[in-house]
Amino acid sequence: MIRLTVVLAVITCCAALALGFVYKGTKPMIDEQARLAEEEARRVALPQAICGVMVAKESKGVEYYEGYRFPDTTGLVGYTVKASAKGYSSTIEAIVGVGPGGEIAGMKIISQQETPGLGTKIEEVKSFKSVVDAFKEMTGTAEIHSVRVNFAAEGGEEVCLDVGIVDAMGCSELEKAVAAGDTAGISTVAPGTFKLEASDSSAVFADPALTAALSGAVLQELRREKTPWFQFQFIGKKYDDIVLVRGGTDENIQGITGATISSKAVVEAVKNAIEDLDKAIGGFKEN
Amino acid sequence: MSTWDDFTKGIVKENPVFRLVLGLCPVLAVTTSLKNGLGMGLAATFVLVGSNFIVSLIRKGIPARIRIPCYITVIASFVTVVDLVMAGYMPELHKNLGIFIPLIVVNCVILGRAEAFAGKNGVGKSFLDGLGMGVGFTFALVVTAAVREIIGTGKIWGLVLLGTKYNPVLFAVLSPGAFVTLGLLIGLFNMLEARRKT
Repeated sequence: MIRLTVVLAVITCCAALALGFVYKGTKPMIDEQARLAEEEARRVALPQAICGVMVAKESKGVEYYEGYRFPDTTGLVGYTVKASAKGYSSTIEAIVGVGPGGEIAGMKIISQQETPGLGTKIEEVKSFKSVVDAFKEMTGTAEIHSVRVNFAAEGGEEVCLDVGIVDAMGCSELEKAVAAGDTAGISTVAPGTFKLEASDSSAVFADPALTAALSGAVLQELRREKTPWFQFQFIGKKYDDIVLVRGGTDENIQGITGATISSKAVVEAVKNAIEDLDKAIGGFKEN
Repeated sequence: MSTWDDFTKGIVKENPVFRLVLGLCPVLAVTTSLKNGLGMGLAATFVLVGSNFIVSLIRKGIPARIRIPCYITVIASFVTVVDLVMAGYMPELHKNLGIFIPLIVVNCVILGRAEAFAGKNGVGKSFLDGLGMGVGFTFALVVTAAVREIIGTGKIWGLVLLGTKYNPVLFAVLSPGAFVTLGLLIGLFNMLEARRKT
């Protein structure tokens, strides 16, 4: 009996030792990935600030970020704050973006280990289409092979509207170009328009008709397709509008069948986040 | 059995998926794209080779009554290594494979090879057995994933294969499509094997 115990103890100790080394070796990289994921999540949660800056703040024990439209601190477009609540089998963590008036600008779940096929539906995206495919379908233009949001310096309300649907790389490249003073190509495109690259990469075009087709409702529709449907329901709602129901309508949040606890947890996390933020910034602006 | 046979039997004759019909959970769940299928196959191969190697190395010191807990400890350790390394260096693949990485621990192909082969054979043979079985498992995942991705999206590895006019059959990348594809592939494999024998 003692031999059995000793053998098993030796094997588990060796395994623990080896895993300790692997954990130590991979931890910096895992932490870095988590940081990058959070950074991306902040842009998804507050798409209006995709090309702008996020400034870390702390007030009354609440850590949050202020999001600005431009690569400097002008044009506050909202805040992002981390939210968490206990789900069915894990703690669900999300980044929630909130506009200056308290309306939800977007959200992204950054960590969850809910039941596969049920609770994990909080991250379920219905569309299998890539962004480029969706653009092709909507515009009827087969040659598009990449879509990039264009940064415009002034006035464009739709500039950088949808980080959730647009390759974020476009923006970082743009930021680099702005930082290097290489803005010649950028200023020629009107605020709120998109630069579409055709299969022949030299043929960059900005067709006004196409641009109009891509703006507003079309972009919103595309965002609806690429955002997990459960999370999409929160967008545009204020604290009091967040009501979880079965078989909901546009006015409230439809729970996930078979995953009530996970659905409730997301709602609780979002509401807590808004409460915290409200406290930290001393109240949202009245519209 | 020759050394070469130890390696090749897992690829065709005793292919864990198409012939032994083992470890089907990841085959059905993650083969929505070639990238995911290959990632899962390589992860499982690493665990198979590593666990077979260690189990065969320590087999003489393990009392028969506690062999299963010992094997599981070894397998779980290798799975944790895969999980940590993938989380750090391949975050997208790690997210796509999700819960199916920790579930490699209970993949019956891996425990099956530790129990049926590595626990009774030497290090070299066990290493080759694990490698062969891993290659066979990866092959099955890759073939299933490729068929599903091509039919379901018209693409392979994200590259357009069937042209813009192809209307993707979404059914192939959904769960029922996994069962149908796997069933047809097992049938095809059996047919080829029967022909080979005659």
